[in-house]
Amino acid sequence: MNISGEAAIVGIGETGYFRGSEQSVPELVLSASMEAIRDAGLKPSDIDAVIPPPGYLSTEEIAANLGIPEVTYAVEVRMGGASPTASLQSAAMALSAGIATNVLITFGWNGYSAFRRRPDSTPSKRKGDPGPFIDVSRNFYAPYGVRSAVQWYSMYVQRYVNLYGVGPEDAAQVALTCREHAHLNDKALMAGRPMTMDDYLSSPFITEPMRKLDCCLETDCATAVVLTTADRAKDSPHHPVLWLGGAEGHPYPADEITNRPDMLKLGLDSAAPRAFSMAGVAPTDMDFLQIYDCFTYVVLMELEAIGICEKGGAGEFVRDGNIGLGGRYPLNTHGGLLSQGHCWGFNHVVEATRQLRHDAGRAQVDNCELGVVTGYGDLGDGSIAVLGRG
Amino acid sequence: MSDEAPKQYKKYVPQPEGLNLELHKRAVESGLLHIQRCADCGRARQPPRYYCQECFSDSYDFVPTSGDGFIYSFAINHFTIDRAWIDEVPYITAVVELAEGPRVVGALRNVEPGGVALGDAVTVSIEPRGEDFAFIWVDLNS
Repeated sequence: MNISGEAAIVGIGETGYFRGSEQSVPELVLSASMEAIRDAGLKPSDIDAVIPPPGYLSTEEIAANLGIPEVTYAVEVRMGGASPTASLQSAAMALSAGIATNVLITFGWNGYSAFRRRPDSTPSKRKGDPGPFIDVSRNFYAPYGVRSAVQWYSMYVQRYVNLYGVGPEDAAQVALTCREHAHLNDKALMAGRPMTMDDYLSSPFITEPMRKLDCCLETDCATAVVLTTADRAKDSPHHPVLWLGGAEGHPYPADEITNRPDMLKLGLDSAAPRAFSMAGVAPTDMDFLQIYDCFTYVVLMELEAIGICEKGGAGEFVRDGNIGLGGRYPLNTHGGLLSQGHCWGFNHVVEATRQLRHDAGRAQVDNCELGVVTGYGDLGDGSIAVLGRG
Repeated sequence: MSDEAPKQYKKYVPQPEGLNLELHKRAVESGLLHIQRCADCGRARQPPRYYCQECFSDSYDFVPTSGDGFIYSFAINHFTIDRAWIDEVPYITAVVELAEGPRVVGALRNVEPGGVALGDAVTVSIEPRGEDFAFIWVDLNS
């Protein structure tokens, strides 16, 4: 059984990207959700499945607040930043199995305000999901002052750059490209704020080799997507975007980084071949790449994991002019988590949809027909979706 | 102006449970880094797990390690959100592959950034912190 092409994205919604929003997480998530439902030409009562941001807002709360009277499928995907793109797979399964007819997926958070509270504000009682790896991280990493994503990932990024001779100028290409693309996006936090190679190289280390400008942006925001069956999608107001294939992958063991037989093997390494096989296309058929960019070096590892270049070849790939608009594989055409803002990577799915609708404005990749989105999260979980213009 | 002393932040000491507690108890009692070992096939593993990943046995014991290993990877922390570690930046966290096979995470001491490389030989030791936790130190062999 192959469910390739049976589900389609028909609605997208996106709040602004803020460093300190006046709106609460529920307000952000509900507003992006309502926008996506309207964009699909639907009413909340047409939705019968909801995949919410774990820990921030439940399916029950979303249904109650928007007016979704009958939910036939509610599931949470707990893979950190890999959750949104993995959720597309769950939605496609529910739609193709006839369990749901219109699926709402939404992610959002106070990724800035939770850590940098305004002096006059009251902290929210809502806390994010501590993560499926909390037992290992608090017992084996936290005692050594290793408590944040940039530190966890450095344990394999350091090995990656040493084994393959990857340099800061390689990672810089990712940061600079995302920044260039952000200038084309009015909703990008870094639009109009240029970055040069000198800026990058003088940026301070956070956890070596990662510098401040290798890190994505703390952001308050929400995004949402509505999917339906490919048949129903024919009647939707916008050009449908087909989910042609997708997969999730978990490194082994997923809850602990350092005892993996190969520490450089990400969840995406096993997921990507399955997704392309399902879709019946090759990585080199892609017209654009929306790659989860929590950190620039992780993007390099992901490019190798999806098979668009050889192991250790990502540095050369990004230096060769492939990833800018006008290049062979434009990357993160919205600015990415690095320069648009961090919405768990669901902003990558929203942007891929705009591209395939041919509605991406100044960042439009001419005549694009196929694109790939990746997700990455927790301690290296991966997800991927191959999307096509319907 | 307050004449109180600046607030001192204590380094986080976890309160292990279950298998993790068993592991740390053995280390604290003996003063030696221990590792879990499958009582059937003999494969060593870290962190402790309920079943052997090789033969799926649920029989295990904890055995002392030689403390010998090499640098498999490391992180050089120039910034930290952990206030108890702020005065120590840049500090280096080592991933050590032990002679027995498993890898452990510990604090590399007396080394400046740039002074450590993959493959460097190291010695691992423990320092009891309370009754239930053995902090891991890593030293480069000179």
